[in-house]
Amino acid sequence: MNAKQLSIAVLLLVALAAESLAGVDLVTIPRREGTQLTIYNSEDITMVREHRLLTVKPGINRIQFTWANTLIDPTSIDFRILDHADQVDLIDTTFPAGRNDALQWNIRSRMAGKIPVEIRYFTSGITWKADYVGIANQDETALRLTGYVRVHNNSGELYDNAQTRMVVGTINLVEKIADLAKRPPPGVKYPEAPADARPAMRKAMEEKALQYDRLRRSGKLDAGGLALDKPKEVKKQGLSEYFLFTIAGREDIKDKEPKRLVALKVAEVPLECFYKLSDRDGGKQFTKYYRFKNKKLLDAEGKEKKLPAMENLGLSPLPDGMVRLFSEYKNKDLAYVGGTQTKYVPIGDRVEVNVGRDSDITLVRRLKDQRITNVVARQYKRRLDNKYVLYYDLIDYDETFYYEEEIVSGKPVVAKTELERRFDAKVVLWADDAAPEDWNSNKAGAYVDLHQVPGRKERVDQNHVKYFLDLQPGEKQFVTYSVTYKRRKVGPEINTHKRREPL
Amino acid sequence: MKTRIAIAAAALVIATAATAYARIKLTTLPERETVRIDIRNGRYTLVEEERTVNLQQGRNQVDFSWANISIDKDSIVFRIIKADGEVNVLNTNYPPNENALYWAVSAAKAGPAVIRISYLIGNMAAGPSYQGVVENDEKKLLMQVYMTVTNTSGESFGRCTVQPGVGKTTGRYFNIGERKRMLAAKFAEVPIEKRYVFDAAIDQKRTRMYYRLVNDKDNSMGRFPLPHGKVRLFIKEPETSENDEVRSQAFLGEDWARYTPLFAPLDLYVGVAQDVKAERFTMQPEKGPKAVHDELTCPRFTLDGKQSVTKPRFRHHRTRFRYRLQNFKTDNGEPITVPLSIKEHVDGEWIIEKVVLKELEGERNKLVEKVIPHAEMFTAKRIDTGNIEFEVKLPPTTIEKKYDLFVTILRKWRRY
Repeated sequence: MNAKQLSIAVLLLVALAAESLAGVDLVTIPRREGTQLTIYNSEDITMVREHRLLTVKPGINRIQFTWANTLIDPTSIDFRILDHADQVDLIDTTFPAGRNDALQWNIRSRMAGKIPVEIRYFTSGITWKADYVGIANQDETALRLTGYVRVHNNSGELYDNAQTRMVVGTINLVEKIADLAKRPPPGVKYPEAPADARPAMRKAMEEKALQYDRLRRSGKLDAGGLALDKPKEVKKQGLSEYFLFTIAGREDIKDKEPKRLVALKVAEVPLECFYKLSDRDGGKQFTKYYRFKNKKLLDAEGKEKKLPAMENLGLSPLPDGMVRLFSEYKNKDLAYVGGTQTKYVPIGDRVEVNVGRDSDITLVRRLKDQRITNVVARQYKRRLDNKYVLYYDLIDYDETFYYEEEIVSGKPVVAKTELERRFDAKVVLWADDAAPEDWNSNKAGAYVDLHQVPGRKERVDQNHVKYFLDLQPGEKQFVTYSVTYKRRKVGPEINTHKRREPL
Repeated sequence: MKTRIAIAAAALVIATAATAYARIKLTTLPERETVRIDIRNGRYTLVEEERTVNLQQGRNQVDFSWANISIDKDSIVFRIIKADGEVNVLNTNYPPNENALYWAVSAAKAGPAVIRISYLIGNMAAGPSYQGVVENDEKKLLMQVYMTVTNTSGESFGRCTVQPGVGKTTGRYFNIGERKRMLAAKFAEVPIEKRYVFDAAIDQKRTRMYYRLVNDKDNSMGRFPLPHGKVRLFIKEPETSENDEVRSQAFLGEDWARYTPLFAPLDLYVGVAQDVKAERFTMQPEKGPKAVHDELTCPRFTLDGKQSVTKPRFRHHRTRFRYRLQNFKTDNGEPITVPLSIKEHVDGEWIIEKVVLKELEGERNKLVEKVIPHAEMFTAKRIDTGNIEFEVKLPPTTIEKKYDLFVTILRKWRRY
């Protein structure tokens, strides 16, 4: 931490008298014994813990702490006496008038000597992210997965020789730390931006963009990572609803210098490949997904492999992050398959990675036929100009669509597919051999007849139906199904002229 | 620090002069002996100060003036606490266009008298905040209530006793513009109930984790109603933590604690429970579209005395929800059962018509659904007409095994 900006001073007072609080001299500046950073990824918050040894004398001791030009939340600063708690008490914490970047702790001591204390506070500007690189084998049956954690420090501070921990999980934060850090003290207004601030800001942003562009062109953009002799271990530990990743040893977390470390390196993760098509995203093309389980790896006999924690899955959740997937040919050449953002994956759950559109499996959906039946015009009468007239507006009719889907697999292996269709009314599904009880109901709805489709059919919700097909290499399958929309009490959809006749 | 509030006492030389505005100005400044600041009211801050003034026998004038401080003039109370002989306050006078007043005081004997002046001031307030340190097993916590008193009143009080609203009264030094954060109360070993709550009205996809505390004596609290303030929660890490002289703590999350009267529960939203997954789907009622509404009939009496049957503009409306439930929560590496509360929001007259719990095993074409008894796993709790809570004891699940809970709610007598 930059000692210029964050400083602590002990002011000793021997007497208890009130008057003696004023005008005392600075005695010592205690050295920082250790720093620990706990960085959260769901919010812009980092918990910093510092251990220091304070020299106290009997009586009232006043300790001053300042943090000018940092992003520290003043309301979060906490002071703990770690030893001799029975002889040393914290009386209160005082913020001087008109300042939000300094405080003093008033301590009453009944002893003289050194006491270990902990100063804890929240700061903003340090974040961490996870990202993954997966290399699938040529058959897409196994994946070599490497997980990284990357720490970004934009706080303006250097945290040297700090124990670094990262929290996986989503905490609830009711106020942003950055806002709290910038909040002026009570009675002081927010500083107004100068009138000409906007052009200056624009210029600064343009300069930043140019700088980024220069870096990108020179290829130095990713050179922020630290070259390590051997990867450091990342220890993982459950804590309430979260997981704590602790980087072994100490790290220097430098300002504006991202640091990327390997958190996981697993070889031979069993991989499953399947293809989804859904009306939620157009319903015309298949999307390829890789699936693997966040479970301990098994050997050929089905027993759990004994692997170091860094080389196994299922010991900690996988934090959300960017996944970049490659496919490796036998000659070790790589092909980029795709990249996507994954969600948090609990222990034992499955990772589903969207690899991107796949054009090897094609689908053609044809509307083979359609017909309207059971048209019933429902009359109702209404008085109009002293005459009763009959309206034909309310129409009941059944409209049936017959679909054929031609699905062709160009894959050299069995392709597992999932097709999800949406229907614009509440679905009554005929999935099994026998028609459902309500099949001949006269109520409005989408009556979907999928009973001739092979495999299992599943009703997802009121409007969505899913079916599963396994396609052999080079196989072409035809799937036929129908949907009857029973329209009831339809308004002027058919009787657009509102034909009426006297009663 | 320059004193802003001044008090002066002097004997009246001219007893009843017509020029009463021409007050006798300060001659001596009696020091404040004690100052008490009471911020319990929440809206107003009461300051009480005691001073000793030397009274002359007969009529005296005690002057009180202030500058750069917002004092409610009408709130000023003047009392004689201790005097040698009888002392009467005759009247209070308010000079125009001045932040000042003076009391006409009659003393039977000359000598010192202790007076107490109480008044309400502005720009001095106290705000509570809480810090909870949760045990590693999440069964108990240490709750510390802090009060931060901000003195932007424009007055330096020096040493004073402060009652910050809750908790104990303490002696402090209060200078102008200062803020002080003080420990007001400490509740050790407060039992906490950990709750997993899924409420699709708040979050469609995620389950939230709450801590529930009860503000009563049985739960190691209950000393006073808890004021509204921010709670920051920390958890003690396992004792095996390295490089720590004392047990390390991690930040769990924060939430606003609402005003909590005695005996009332306090729910604190800590963070997202990502290992307990719930998803809600709206489904067709079990018997298809015709079961969406129950058509109702009622007797109709006509003027000619005949009775028939008619369909009123009411019907019962049926809604069926499916909850896909998965629990990947572990404790020391072992899968555990968790209590999950599912909230639903309804209105008017309603009943829970049917509950079906299905266990799903396998995947894709090999998936097998099995209806299992739900009596031990599921209870429905009617909170009020607007809210239901389904309490589910959710056993561990895997990728191959999960649960689908179907609940049919019949909302009755809906107008259409």
